[in-house]
Amino acid sequence: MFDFDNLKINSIRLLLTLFIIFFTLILFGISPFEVFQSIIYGSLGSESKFIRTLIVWAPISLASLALIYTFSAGMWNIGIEGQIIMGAVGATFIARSFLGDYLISPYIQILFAVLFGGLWGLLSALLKVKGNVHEIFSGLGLDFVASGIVIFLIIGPWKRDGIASTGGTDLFHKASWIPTIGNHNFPLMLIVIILFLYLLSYVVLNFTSLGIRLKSTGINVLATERFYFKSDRYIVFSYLIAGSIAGIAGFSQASGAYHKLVPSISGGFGFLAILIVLISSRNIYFSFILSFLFSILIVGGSQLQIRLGLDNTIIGIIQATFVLSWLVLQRIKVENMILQKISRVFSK
Amino acid sequence: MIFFENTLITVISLSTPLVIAVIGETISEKSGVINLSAEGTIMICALFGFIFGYISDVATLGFLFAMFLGAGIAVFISYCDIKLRMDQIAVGFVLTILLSHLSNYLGQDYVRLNGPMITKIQIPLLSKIPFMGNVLFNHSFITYLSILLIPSAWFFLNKTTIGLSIRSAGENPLAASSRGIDVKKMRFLGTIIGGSLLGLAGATFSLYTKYGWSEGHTTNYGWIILAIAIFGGWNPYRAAVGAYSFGLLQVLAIKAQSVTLALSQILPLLPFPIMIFVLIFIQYINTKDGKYVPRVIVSLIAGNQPKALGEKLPEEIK
Amino acid sequence: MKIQIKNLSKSFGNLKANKNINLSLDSGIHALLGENGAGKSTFVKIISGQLTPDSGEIIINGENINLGSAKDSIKNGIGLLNQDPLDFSNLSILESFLVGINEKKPFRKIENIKQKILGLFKNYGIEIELSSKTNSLSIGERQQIELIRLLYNGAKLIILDEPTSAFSLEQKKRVFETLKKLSNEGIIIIFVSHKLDEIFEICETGSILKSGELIENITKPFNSKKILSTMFENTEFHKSEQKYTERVNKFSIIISKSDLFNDYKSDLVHEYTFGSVIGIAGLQGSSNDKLIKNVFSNEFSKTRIIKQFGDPLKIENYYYMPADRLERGLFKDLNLLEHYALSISAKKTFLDWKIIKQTAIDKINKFNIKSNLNNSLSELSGGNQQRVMLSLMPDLESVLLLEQPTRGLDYNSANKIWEMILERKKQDIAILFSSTDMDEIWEYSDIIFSVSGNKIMDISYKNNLTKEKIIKFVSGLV
Repeated sequence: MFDFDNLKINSIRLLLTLFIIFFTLILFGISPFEVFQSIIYGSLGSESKFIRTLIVWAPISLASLALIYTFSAGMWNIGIEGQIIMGAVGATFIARSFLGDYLISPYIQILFAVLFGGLWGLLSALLKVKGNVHEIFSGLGLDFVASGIVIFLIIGPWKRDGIASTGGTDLFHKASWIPTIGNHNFPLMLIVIILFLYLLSYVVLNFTSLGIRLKSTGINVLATERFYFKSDRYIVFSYLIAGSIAGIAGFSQASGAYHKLVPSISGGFGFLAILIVLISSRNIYFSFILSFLFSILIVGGSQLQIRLGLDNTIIGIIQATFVLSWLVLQRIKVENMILQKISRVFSK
Repeated sequence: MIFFENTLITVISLSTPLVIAVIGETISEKSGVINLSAEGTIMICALFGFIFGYISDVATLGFLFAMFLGAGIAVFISYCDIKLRMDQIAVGFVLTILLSHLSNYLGQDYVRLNGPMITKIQIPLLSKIPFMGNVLFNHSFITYLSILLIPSAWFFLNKTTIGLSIRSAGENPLAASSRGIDVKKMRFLGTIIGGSLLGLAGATFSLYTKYGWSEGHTTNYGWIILAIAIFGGWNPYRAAVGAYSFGLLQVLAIKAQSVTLALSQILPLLPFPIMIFVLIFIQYINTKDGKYVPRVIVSLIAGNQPKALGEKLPEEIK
Repeated sequence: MKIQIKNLSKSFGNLKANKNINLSLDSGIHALLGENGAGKSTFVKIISGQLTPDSGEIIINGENINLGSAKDSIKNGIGLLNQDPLDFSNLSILESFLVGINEKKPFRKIENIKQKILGLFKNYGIEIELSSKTNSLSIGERQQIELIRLLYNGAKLIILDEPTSAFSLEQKKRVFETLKKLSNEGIIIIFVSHKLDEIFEICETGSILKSGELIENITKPFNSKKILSTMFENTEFHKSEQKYTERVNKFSIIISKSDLFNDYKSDLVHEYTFGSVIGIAGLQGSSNDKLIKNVFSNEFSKTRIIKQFGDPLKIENYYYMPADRLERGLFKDLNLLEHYALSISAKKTFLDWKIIKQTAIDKINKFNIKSNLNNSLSELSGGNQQRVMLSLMPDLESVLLLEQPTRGLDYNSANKIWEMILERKKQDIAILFSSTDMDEIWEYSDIIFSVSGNKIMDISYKNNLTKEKIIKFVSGLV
């Protein structure tokens, strides 16, 4: 299964991409070494920083995993943002109304987050399958509808006592937060869930009929019928699964990161996950690692302001430049040329 | 009456960038290319349009530069699309993310500055017509330009050889190519014209309707014009109607602010569910049951989606 | 007009698609014959300017033309009528005429152009409004309009690349009439086709291509036997022996009354023994393929198959094989191994790749597929793809539903495919196949359904039929 040539090509591409990013930073008059040093310090420098990175990693890794399913089925699930948002709404619904203890509440929150996210995903799928609406447009539309719902909830029914502002709802009761252990609030439960879902997905995508059927749906919907399954059904499955996992990402944002519902609850992590999946192209290991690297960038990036006086939007630039150069290089196939050159030098 | 008149004036001037952008996107899509970078392109062009206007103190320079920048971004998209045969959607999406971050980063020093103002030009005689004169003939040059753009775009697409060639490339690249049309050139042209109009729209925000620059200055407008382009059924006139309706929606939202906060926040999101309904409707009338929908409604809502929209060029076209 | 083609050559990698082709034409309808892969379409594409040849020249009226430019070919009066109409569904007919029109600034003289088109329409008996959209027309009408468009643009040489495959008989007649009329008016026509009967009907001269070379020029009167033996020279004509195994079990086909010709009051039930090969004969564009697909998906009518004894048939008992391999049959970016995994995915929730690999290796050997397990399907040749489709047949007792199982294959590959199919007679309930090739139907069927248009005209055992009768039925003559 392991492809050594592929690894060689990918590493060369990685080096080239990093080179482009370094060059871009220098162009902006920023020292790339300082930037990366403070990013790594800011994200991994201490236990509490590491845990903050994990809290950011959780939704990104979940969203990336979710997207692997829909990309497998050939669907551009740009509606992932909406699915995360609705997951957060589901979680908030329970967190606000159900004040059990921390042993019960989070689990019911997850259940509702899965339900809300999954249903929102289902909506995209049905529009695609029944209404024949291009998933890009329906997804985009549903993203904004979801954010409209959140704004409505925050200003309307779930507004803070006395004031109606777009700042968010009241903080959840502590019992509704994601349970943590240790002094630095390590979110053990969340990490266990993520690892479990990744493992499960690895098995599902590689060793089950669901996995191979999703993949073939993504390649040719017209040929699935003669293999005794309906591609439409698998498109729906992929959206249901993706929406459910994205819902958990929303739960993680609401009950783990903010402890309340805010208008920008998704943090743009859905779109970020699309970037990740564009490069990792359905490879589950890649998306696991890349989502971690991207969260290091985000958490470390928030320190840039303090340490270097840099705006943290530079992080977004680094991420997007990375993905864009990767995709372009992949097409130009410059790595093969370099590999040949190298092997020629060595053979001499 | 005065209230009505003022509302109309506001709608027309507020919709200026939307009209320009949505026509740009329509032309691009007619050639077969979904410019999904609209959100990012508009944003960065708003910034650079403002910067150039600010530095030179001549608004026109800002507009011109923004157009060039928008066209430049479109050249990149075209390169990825035609030469590298990459997925248009992927490229556009990543560009949107990149350009919006880039504009926020580069724009830090230009937040809330005063640049050049563009003045209203009263058209002699015509502006004296009661009611209509004030509504239509008392605007800035960019608004006049946007209004003129609507029939010109229609004329360009439907009544000129190049326009027809662009459309044929967006419908069926292979067929167009076999008739001697340079499909790659037409696709390039459509993307470039579309991109430069998106750029102009960006500068119109920062130099006119949403004067100045701040972080995320034109957030979501790019996505909205994608929705309006569909509502417009790939026809410049209808696209303009869509843009003006959205302008009206915005004005209503501002007015609603004093009544209820929720409404004012949610009204601007209305184009998205409408876009979804239009798309469902377009598909519906193509089905068997769709026959029973009255022709009037069909011609009002359905559109001629270019057949090859969003698709890669066929491998046969080298 | 006189066209001379000199020493035309073109290779793709190692494959020499065209080798030193010489041809000279000045009038009439000229046939271009050859089996699959003989180089016909490469030749056509070079003449129409869609491909640049490696060497050679094309001379029109004594002047060399610029090679590899569609625009120049059009300017020099060469027009190509494609297999599928190459037009624009969202454009009106007038607009469609204007795309790539042979006139400068066409919008300035639009009325003039309209009159000219209408004149041509009248001349060739076409009654269609110029403002109607292309997607509201039938394929035959669209091809006719394409012919007129080529004419309008001053085509002096029109190439038809297997144009009749999507035509009804009626449409074919009309187009052929148009062609004859065009030829009488001095237009050279090159007619590319597989179908000898069509060629005999309208062509005066012809050339036979074989593995990239022009090996023979022929003129009327044609000798079909000689042409066939030239085209398929060196290919073995071995008749596959019918291994007939008498089987006792029976199944019935319940043919929905809506599928039948004449107003039947109720459905028709026919009983056949297991292992029967049922050939569904019909011309291109008739619903013979639809009938095959219908048994699998019940999409078009209520015609179905039931076993007389034993368990009722389940969907897994059917194996459906569509005519277009890469469009509806296989997954071009999936490798061979994954295809075998997919074929067992209906029965197993979990995939054991070791077992799948073993089955895959067995099947590849058995069906003589020349490929690696890791090759994606798009890398395989058409014949290999077809064998992959066959190798995916389930092992259990099945009903095989084969849509034109040898479409686009040359004689040799087709023969091999049929050997594999007939092998299944011993084991399967029924083998249904559709074909537009009456020889194929005659050769392999036990029972023949003759379809014309949407209706089944006749159902008979082969013993009670003659080939001429079938041809009559499928042509709609009762």
